[in-house]
Parts: sequence; C-alpha cells; structure tokens
Amino acid sequence: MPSAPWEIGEIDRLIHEPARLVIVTILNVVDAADFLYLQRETGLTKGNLSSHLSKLEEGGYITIEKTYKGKIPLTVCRLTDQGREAFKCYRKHWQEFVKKTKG
Amino acid sequence: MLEDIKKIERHTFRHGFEDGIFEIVFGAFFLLHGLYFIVLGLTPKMSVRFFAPVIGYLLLIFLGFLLFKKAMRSLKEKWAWPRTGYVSYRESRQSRLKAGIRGGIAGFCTPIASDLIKAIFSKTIPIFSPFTVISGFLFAAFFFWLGLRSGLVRFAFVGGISAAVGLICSLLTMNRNYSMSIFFSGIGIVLIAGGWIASRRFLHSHPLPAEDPR
Repeated sequence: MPSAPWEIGEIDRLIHEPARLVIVTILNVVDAADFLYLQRETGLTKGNLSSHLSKLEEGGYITIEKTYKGKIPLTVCRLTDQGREAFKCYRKHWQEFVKKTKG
Repeated sequence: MLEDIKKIERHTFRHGFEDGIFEIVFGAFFLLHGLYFIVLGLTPKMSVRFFAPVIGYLLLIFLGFLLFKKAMRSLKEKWAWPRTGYVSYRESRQSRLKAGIRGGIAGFCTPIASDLIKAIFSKTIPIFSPFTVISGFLFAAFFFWLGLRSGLVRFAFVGGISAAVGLICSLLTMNRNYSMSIFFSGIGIVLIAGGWIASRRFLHSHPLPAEDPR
C-alpha cells in the first residue's frame, strides 16, 4: 500500500482505467451480472466491454461463465475474491491519497 | 474519483428497486401479515392459543420469506431481466447475520417499548395498541433507510405513511390484533400500489431490446 502521494504510480492500473473501474464497482455491489446488464450500465459498445472483461478475467479479478437460459445465451460475470480485495485496496489507496493531498 | 465510485454504487443499488417488483412482493407479504392478525383476532381464546400465535408467526415469517424470494425471482425473470439484463444482488452470510441480529433486537425491545409507551401515555393519550405504533415506527425507519440508500423518494413517502398509519391504528378502540391487521393491510396496499405505478413506469422506460440480426 503506497504511503505517499508520489507513490501514485503504484496504483492498480487494471482497475484504474475508467471503464474497468465502473465494471468492477458495479460487480462489487452485485453478486453477478450478465453482459447485457453491464453494457446498459456502462454505456460501452459490445466490443469494448468484451475487451475490458477479458482483461479483468486475465488478471483474475472476475470470472466469466457462459450459460444458456432456455435458448438465450447468457454471459454471467462475477468478481472474484482477488478482485474484491484489489478493489478494496484501490479504494483505500485513493482515500489515503485524497486525505494526504488535502492536508 | 471516490465520489464517482459512490455514485455508481448507489445507482447500482437503486437499480434493483426501480422496477417496483420489490414493493409489490413486499406488499403481498404485508397483506399476508394482515390476514394472519385477522385470523388471530377471530380465533377464540383456548389453552393452545398461547403457543399457536408464536408458531403461526414463525411459520408465516419462514414460508413468507421463501415465497418472497421465489416471487421476486420469477417476476424479475419475466419483467426486469429481459429488459435490463440479468443481475443478482449480494447476500453475504455476514449481512444475513446482521439482519438477523437487528431483527432479534427489534423483537426483544418491542414488548419492552410497548409497555413503556403504555405507561408513559396512559394518562394523556389513549393508546390501545402500543405494538402497532412501534411497528409503524420500526417500518418507517426501515423505509427511510431504504430511501436514503437508494435515493428513491417513494420509500421515504411509504415510511411517512407507515409511521402515521401505525399511530392512527394504535389509537383505535379495538382489539390489538385487528389494529395490527389494519396497519399491515394498509401498508401492504400502499406498497403494492406504489410498486405497480413504478413497474408501469419501468416497463414504459425500458422497452425490450431489439433482436440482434447477427
């Protein structure tokens, strides 16, 4: 955990990217969300969202499960424990950063 | 940055209530409570009656909770998810434990508070059913909290009604069970009506997405 503002370079870049931060924040509140839900909430295009989800999955922050509901394909995303912990750290990091820069 | 995160969190939490399904199902749960208290009021006094209400109430809570979850899921599947996409909210063991502890504390404190209210106001305001006024304020607190957390004003409105109806019903000169029944049925009807209006607005503002031509 960085202790000084100049250590901002140590911030988790996988989460820090705005679109991915929105995705992770949503997934931190919910238990699971499908592709359509995330697309509506983030306002990203299919390709863009897919690319960000792949990056988060590669980083081990989310799991993507492809299932079917009847004949309709469903892509369900969930935040992993690692992802939840990373988001918690990211948030704490920012809180400390804001506190230090204000003081 | 942190403010944006909070905004997204609140919006995501709020999203779960925008379709009005929670109010419709919760309202039905309240109506079930109303029915329970009517039955209790109509039941003649017998030796078994001391245990029967407790067992009946526990059954109502348990079966009501199961029905609540099932009804929520099937209505969400039918109305909400085809429009917004599938989403399920977190129910951690910790939050369930917290809710259980809060419920236990409320259950333990209600009879004490009831006696206290009766003792304080016995000479000034003729409160016939302190249980009703306490229930009114407890649910008012819950709905105000929900309104604050979700940013949906209609929950604060239901909270205000809950407190007012609880107080009015407690002043009625009738059997406690009937006054509780009126309270629960009244709030149930208000919830269902609010949920129905919210769901109409939701269905109107969230049309089904067009089929993907690919």
